[in-house]
Amino acid sequence: MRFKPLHNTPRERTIAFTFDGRALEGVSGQSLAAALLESGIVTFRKSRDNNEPRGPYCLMGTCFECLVHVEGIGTCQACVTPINPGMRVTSG
Amino acid sequence: MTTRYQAIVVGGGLVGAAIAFGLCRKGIATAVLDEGDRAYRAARANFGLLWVQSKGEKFRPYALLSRHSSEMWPEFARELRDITNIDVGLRLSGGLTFCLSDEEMQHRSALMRHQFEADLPCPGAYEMLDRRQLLDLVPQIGPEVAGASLCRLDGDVNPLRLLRALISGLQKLGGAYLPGHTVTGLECSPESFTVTTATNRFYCDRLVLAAGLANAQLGQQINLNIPVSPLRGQILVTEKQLPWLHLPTHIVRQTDEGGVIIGDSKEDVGFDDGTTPGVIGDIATRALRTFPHLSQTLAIRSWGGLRIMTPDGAPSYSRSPKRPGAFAFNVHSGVTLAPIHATFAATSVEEGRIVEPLLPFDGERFALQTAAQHAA
Amino acid sequence: MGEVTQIDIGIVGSGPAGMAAACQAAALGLSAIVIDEQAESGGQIYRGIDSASERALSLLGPDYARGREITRQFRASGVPRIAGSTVIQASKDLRLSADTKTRIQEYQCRGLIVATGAIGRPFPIPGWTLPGVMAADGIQVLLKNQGLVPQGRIVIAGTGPLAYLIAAQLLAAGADDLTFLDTTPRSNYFLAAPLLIQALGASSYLVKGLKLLARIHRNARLYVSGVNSLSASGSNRVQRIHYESARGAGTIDADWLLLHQGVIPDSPLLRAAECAHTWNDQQLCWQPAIDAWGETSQPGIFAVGDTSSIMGADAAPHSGRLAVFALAARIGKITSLERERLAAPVRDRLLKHQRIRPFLDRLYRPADNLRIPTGDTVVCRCENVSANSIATAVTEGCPGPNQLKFFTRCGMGPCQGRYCGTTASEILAKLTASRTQDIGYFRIRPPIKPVRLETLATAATPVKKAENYQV
Repeated sequence: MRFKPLHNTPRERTIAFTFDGRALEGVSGQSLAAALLESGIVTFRKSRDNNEPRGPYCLMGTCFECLVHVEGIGTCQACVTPINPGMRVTSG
Repeated sequence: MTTRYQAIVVGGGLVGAAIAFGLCRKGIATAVLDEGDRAYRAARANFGLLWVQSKGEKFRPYALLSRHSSEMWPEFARELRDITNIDVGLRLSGGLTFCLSDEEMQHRSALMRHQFEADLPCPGAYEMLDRRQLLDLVPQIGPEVAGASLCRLDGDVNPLRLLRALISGLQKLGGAYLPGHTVTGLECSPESFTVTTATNRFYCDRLVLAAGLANAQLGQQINLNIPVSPLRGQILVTEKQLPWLHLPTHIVRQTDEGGVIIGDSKEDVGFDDGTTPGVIGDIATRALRTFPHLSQTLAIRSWGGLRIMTPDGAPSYSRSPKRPGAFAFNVHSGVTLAPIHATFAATSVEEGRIVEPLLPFDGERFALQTAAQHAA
Repeated sequence: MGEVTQIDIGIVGSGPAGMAAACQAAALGLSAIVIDEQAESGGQIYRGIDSASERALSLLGPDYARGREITRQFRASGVPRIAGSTVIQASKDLRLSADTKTRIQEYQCRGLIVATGAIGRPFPIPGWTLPGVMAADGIQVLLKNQGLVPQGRIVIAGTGPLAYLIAAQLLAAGADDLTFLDTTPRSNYFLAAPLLIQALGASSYLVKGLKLLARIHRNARLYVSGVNSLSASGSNRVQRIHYESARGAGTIDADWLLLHQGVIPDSPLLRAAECAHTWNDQQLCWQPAIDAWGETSQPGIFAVGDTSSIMGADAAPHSGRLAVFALAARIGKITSLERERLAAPVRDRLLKHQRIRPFLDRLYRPADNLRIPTGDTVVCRCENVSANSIATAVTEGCPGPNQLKFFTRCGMGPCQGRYCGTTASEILAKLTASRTQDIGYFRIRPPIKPVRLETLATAATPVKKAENYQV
């Protein structure tokens, strides 16, 4: 199950990026979290101690659940990180 | 509430809890009186190092005591685990002090020779590693690192779990742990001591002051002069990472949970345990000089703690000359010396006199040191 | 380290309170700066307002659209706004340190106004850490900023005006399978009713609320009231929601669970500056102790808007302006007589907008069992600390949140206790039969959000080491 655009208005998904090697596209100006949710991805990482799947919770940069690794930058909160063309992202 | 004990330990930090653990292990009815939730608590700011290599450079008994304690650690950790089911995460495979120049290497090498090849030889205790050798152990060191001293007697533990194990252990052995009982008054009568808190009055035959910086004020009430002063250290902790640093170093250590702890500072700022951008920035800078690959790593919290420093930095183990059942113990090295506290310090309290190997650490030496300085 | 910017008033956050404070400062001729973590102005309530499409504006309602005028006024004020910069520390000597993402920039101010707003109250139920379980107000972010709506079966569970608003917005946005589980305790209706009388002029709030409820009743697949127990389950993501209510229990197959039970002040900057905080038992949250002008226990540091206490977007601007009046008089820009003259009507408006609060707080007071979990339910999400672990620590003599943190790691993760601190305070109070006020909260230290080591390094000042004791 994924997120869809408001009233199904078609949008230009022109920003190509990868997540754990999977090729995805997002909309210019989107956050990484939004792009992943729109692509149907809801697990962004595994918790350190017991390897449980975790995904975004607060979506406003305060809970730190949506941590992913962006190549060249480091650990990022997906909900406050805008996508850029060619971004290589791996789960946190 | 029971108010009569054979021994009361004032202070539930690493020192007090270890001594109480040792007393309980001997079957002595013991209570630990600890402050409330908000306290200076040096124990909570502990780096977690078990460090021998630089101890006691001038005061040689301290060097011996640290070595002795290091040897006792594996058995101590096992015992804690058996009693409490808590694994304190002991790693005792050596510790590194980095040198960022050839000059620092020479200086460090001289120190190590002094520590382990002079009056107190300890063959094989250390090795000076040049850059090539160091890269085998720690491939991530930055270009500025010239080498390091590696001391096999060094290691680390998880200080949070150590304190928890000691407090849990002393209770399992029949002792009482009473937080929220800041001591407000001490009285000595011929046969016993009266310890007053806001809500209770306690009685004991043996009194142990292990209250860190508060020992100065408490000591006065039993005619013990305990000259301790605060020395602030600020620390940074990073996000959790996959294990990459398998040995502790003097300023960077990766915990068993994965976070990297980075220290530290030594600031004379009184009783201020706050953190400051300038010093935190300096700590970050030094860490990056040693491990440049950490540049993008997120620091997720900082903290500051007040070390309990005696005038010469070495422990102070004293019995009150006027009141034989009263003792005061002050160290800033609560992790390294925990086994010593659980054994010899506890025995000292039990027997009513400071026992070897703690004899050289009598707090009286500070008065003598001051006198000597004045005379010089 | 770069130059330190000198400024009269440093304002953190550009939501309604921050923007109003900036406009007021400019109007009085004070120099001010607004430092905001977000790219655009508006805070949470008016998030994305400046780039919202007409469609989004009509969907999100007139209250949201009103934000456009506020951001326009703010831009017109001329007060500089530093976007994308997180203030990580506010010191007692009124200096702000901000993480610009490349360096630490410092601002030396004569007064600080912290307008960082609120976050969602934690909602610790079994299974709340499963992917697909999210904060309902977070969904609003996706709606406002990104124009996205969840597909599939949505369950919204909770209480409070925002929960209803979000449900109505999702329905209007095309969500066609939405269940609303209302966790407002039934007794709240009786207990809140007498407070309605005090809420003079609150009729507009009430009408709005009723209209939203009507829309939900009409368009939701299912509406259940008086839900008193809730849990989520699934493998790898949320798949089922279990609930109990006075009318009976149920299980709903769901793709998304959106939780909301009110908002609480987000004040770590103030805690790190050692501003005193008090437990508000009416709103069930911690808030900074402030005087009638918003000044905290640290002279020169003010808390306004939802940071000071939950007051809503209509009240917030007035609290922002009062803080500026106080600072203006302190700095000597206006006399104290002028300060009183200017403040009087603003104070009246602030009080007017706060009159509805006792009623709303009582009506939407979340149930104890949904705030104070037991058993295996996760309390600290970052470190996976359960309610049971906390209970064990208490039996071992843990007296408060800071020892708890040390014993269990609860509160030691990157969120720095935002999503577990309030819960921890309440659990400890319950287990030790103490007042939450006496239990206290975690000691919070800067940086109040994680910062990269290389960025921290830019603030380094050469440290004069104390005499080298042997360590």
